[in-house]
Amino acid sequence: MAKSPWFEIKDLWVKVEGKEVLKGVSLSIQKGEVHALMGRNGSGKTTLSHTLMGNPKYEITRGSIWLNGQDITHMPADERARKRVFLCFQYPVAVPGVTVANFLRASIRAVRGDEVPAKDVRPLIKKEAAALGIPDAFMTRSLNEGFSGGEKKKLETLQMRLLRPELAILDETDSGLDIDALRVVSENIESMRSAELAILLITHYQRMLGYLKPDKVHVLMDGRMVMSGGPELALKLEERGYDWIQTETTV
Amino acid sequence: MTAPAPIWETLFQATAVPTTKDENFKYTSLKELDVKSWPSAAPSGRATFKGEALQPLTEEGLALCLRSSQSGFTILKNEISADMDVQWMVSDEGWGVSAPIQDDIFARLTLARSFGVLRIKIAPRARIEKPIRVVLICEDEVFYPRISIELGAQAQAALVLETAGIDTAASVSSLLQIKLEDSSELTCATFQNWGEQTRYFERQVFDLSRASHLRVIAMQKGGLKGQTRTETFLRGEGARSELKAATRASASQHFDYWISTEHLAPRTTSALDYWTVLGGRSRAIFNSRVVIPTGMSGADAYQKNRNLLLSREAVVDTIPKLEIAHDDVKCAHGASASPINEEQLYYLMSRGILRPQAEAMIVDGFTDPVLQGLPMESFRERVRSAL
Repeated sequence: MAKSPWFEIKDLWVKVEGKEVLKGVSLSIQKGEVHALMGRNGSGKTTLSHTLMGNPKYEITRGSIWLNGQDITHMPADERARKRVFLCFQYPVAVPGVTVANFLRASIRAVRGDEVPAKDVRPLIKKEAAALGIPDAFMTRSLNEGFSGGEKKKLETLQMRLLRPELAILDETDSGLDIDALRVVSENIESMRSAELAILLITHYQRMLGYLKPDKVHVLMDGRMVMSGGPELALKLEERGYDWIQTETTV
Repeated sequence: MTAPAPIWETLFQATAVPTTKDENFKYTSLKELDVKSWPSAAPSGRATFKGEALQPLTEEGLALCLRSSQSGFTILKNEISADMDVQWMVSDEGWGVSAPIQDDIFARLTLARSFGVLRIKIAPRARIEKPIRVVLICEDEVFYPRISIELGAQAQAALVLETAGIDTAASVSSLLQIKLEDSSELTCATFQNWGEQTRYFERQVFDLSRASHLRVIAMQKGGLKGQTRTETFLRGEGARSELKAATRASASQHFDYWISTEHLAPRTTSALDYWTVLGGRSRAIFNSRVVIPTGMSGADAYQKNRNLLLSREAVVDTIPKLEIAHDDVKCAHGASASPINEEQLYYLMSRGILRPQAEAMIVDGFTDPVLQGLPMESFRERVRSAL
């Protein structure tokens, strides 16, 4: 009998502010795999990522989300996070007055609990921040307030390192990054790749896939999954754009 | 002990109690308070206050304490330098009290009933390194504290003013006067933590001479119903005032801020940041007026009132007013009131943080920029944990 998928989305329909954005998306990922989800702006990629994380703004009207045999469709975001689901935000929101250090400590405590003894939290943050070239002065700043695009993405990546997810959803982590920052962030994520981690990489460019080779590539168009394939599909999209898919499918 | 000047008692008795028809008492009714029959502050000697508030005060700097049950002040720790003169003045005929506070019913009440004024004078050019700490403790059913701070030319000092009181019904009417001579600088940090059943009426008058600089950082937490009237007079060219206040209102607390800032010289600067977090059925009023008369070129005024509403029953009234009679000035004002931002909440929760903790982080973060401005680490931590 085939192994049941570790993470599975079944026929997901999602409404945002009364508008149907996802129209029956299905996808399954095993631990250790990297799946790339590609598509034009407005195809529903970000809606999918926030729905998977549990943003209450997105209303699931049909379908279900399964993690390790458990139905997490209606689980709140904090509980999903403690089940080791992690979303690397495309636009992380600023929270004035909450320092980066306080936030990181609170999230490590919440997600990893006793796994990281209290005395090790600070040194752990320091070590992982250094690996990303994040200076100490960063820690006393207000969370994401006045951060450059690159700084935000580095902080998201740092959180991913610290929280050790088992499912990481990377929402256009490559956007707003210059070549050097893209390399640092991509290599960092690549170094986290393991048999214990499943990655859903959302992008509309090939460039991050150069660093992070996907096992599978899916194309989302108008809220529907219209094509799936191997890494060669990403290259084909890079070369030819999305128009040919439209003509080949019934979308 | 000399009795308070009788003239103020006569004036107080002659003053009509403002009604809600008065613009500045529109949201703060005095009807049930029966102000005219508040008793005199005869020391009762039946102090019930435990005095925990005094403990941390002796750690740093000079500490002075005014208690409602005593007719003078107590020096808790004496580090008075030669540059500083601390006096307890009795019957001063309302020294240095400027209009329009002279007409204010509560200012008159305080002047009539207080046993004296704690007067702190800093010599010209003096640099007082450690903050001067003053504690006001209400141990009786009434308390009429008066404090006056004067900084000589080019002097620099910091004042930390804390209030505390019994949790049974009490009434407080206070007067704080600050006078800054040319080029002097004062940081004044306050922590208002009156008892739960205290009704308080605070009057503050700030007079700023040429190129002087006043920074006020006010944390407000206690009391049942209160009104703080703050009058700032920028009298000398280049004078600068920055008033920051953070309020945490809960249950049925009522905080009324009645603020007036007058730019009476050219190139004067004023900034107001009043931030309030409201829960329960609490209410806050930001009633602020900035006046710039003709001829005050280069005046720069800024007022901002931000409110974070934690419940549907909480109410905010925000009335920023500008009276500008001159062209060459800079004025900005803004007000906002909103519930906790759902996107911020979701972001924190997406990192495993439980909803109540995420909410608390956002609320703390909201007032933290004001708190950060408080002098002394120990005081900052004390206020943070009290909030």
